Amino acid sequence: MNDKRLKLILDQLGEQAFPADTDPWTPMQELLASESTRIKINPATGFTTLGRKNTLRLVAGIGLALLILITTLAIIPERQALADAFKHLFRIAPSEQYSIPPSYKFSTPTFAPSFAATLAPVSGMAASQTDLPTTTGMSQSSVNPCGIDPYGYACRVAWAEQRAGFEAKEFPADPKGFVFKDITTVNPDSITMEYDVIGGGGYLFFNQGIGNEFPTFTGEVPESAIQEVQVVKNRGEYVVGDYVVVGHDKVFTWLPCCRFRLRWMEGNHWFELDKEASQLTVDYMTEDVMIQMATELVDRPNPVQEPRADYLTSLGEASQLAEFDILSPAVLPEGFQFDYGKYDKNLSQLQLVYSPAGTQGIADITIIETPINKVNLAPGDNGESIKGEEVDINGYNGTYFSDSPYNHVLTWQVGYLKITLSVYSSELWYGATFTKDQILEIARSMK
Amino acid sequence: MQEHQSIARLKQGDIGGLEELVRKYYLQAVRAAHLVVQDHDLAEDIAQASFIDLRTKIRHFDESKDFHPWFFRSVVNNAISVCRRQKREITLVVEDESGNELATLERLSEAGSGLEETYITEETRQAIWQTLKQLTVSQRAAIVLRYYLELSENEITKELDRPKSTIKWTLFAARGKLRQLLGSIQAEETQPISTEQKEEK
Repeated sequence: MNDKRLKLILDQLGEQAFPADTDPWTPMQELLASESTRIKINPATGFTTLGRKNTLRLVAGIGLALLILITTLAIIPERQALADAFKHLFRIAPSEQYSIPPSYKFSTPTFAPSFAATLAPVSGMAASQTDLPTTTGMSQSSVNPCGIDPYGYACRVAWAEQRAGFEAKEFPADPKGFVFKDITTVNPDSITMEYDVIGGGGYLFFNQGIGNEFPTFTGEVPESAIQEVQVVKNRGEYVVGDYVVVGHDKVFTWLPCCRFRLRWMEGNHWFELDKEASQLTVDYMTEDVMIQMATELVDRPNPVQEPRADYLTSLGEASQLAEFDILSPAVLPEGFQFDYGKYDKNLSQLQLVYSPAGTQGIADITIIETPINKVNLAPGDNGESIKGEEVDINGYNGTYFSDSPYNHVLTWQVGYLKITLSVYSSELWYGATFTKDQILEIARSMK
Repeated sequence: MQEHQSIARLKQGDIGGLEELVRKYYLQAVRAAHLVVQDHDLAEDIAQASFIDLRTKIRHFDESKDFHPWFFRSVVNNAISVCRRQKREITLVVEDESGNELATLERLSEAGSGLEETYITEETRQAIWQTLKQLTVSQRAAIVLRYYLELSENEITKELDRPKSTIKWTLFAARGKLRQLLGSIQAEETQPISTEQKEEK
């Protein structure tokens, strides 16, 4: 397929969706009309049909009026709080609830069709001893970071810094529970570093930039949601919550849950940590943790050379850390592959997670391996197995439980090792069903 | 009206300048956004927002440069941002009347299909569409910028906010994946064109 043909097909796809007789200007006029009242009180937008000279006069006049207002309010004690509102690092929303704009359209969720999973042998399953640990930190300044790895973290940070025109603060290494995903400079003079929650379910955005105020793209919050905090020696603000639509409501409602933001300034350098959940049920974060993350930021991190125990990127790394011979399955559902592992040295517990690419949090197989004599170390684990059906795993007794084709748990003991294998598939978002025999086949393939 | 005149008028706050630019570029903008986000309504929102933003951003536009790649930078970047935003939309799990879990989540959906037949079959178009869906957002954006908007790699480097080497790699990977996924269809396309198809052409 040549470039012209691809262009032609893309043209046709575009014409199918938006025919050439589409009138573009009428809806734009309606939008402009609906925005005009808001724009009138916001000269900073620069949109006005006034002449340029008049616009400048208006801006200067409003600026002067605001300055006088803030100064007046600040010197009257009982109005101090009101004056402080002008100093907030977050933009203040007028209400904790507001109507959904008519132009706002909700897409219909597209649920995954249900299908029966099939198993396939795992290729190259042997634990590699030669896998190198991932280097997540910045290299030494004397070394060209892009010479080491043009697609690596350090090179991307260097590129973003060059684009944005300032030296970015960085985490000394990926924050605990997160793994670096991307870095962008989409907005002028700012850098966004994006991290995924390990295992899926949430995101952390570390935004920073130069200027005396935060950009407007991050939205507004109710004033009541703002908590004053201290970030090192700087004043900061912490907010928990977001505007969401609950069920079939016709309004956005402020929900004090599941989004955590910390903002602070250092000179003319602004910072924001923004932790968001993709699902309400799997989120966590605390003010202290977020402030600690902010406190630990550095100008230039040292390279991280050792494997991350909370994010092992290969079975080889898992073998290096685990103090026992690890077992891994030789067959897996089609599409599943090794995702990551975790090793808790205190509990001597290894966790291996397999999932289809790009489906973290909606489909996974988790295998937990613990030496029998260390099982009791796990909080709440008294060594008892789950209640369920007795099964045979290569001559060892096991217990199997399932409450639906989408959820299965199997636990058994192989010599000195206790193994728990759990299979989860989201009925709505992934749709794969598994049978008991398939779960047993995966378990019996472990070696 | 010449494009530079429209831009000059818009810089002066004259809405007539915006109208000319909307009439000239809206369709291409909404189609480009649609190819990236793969959602009809979102594409409209993105295109309209890009023109709304243009009222303020136009002040930063260097008139000695080409307007087309400069403007489509914001369109494609807005589309990328929306995709990322969509991905991290909060899911609300609530109980409905039947007691089942109801998850509300905004996701990308497919656009409606047209009926026009050309020598490129509907099957091929749909295969391309489905294949685009399987690319990452960055790869889709690269494909749209390079092959739909026909920007040069140098221009894309600026538009996608990535080093040129990354763009080359992204395009290479995207093309590779397209080829792989479309292998069977390509084979069909290389067959001699029938008389009827020639007449249609």
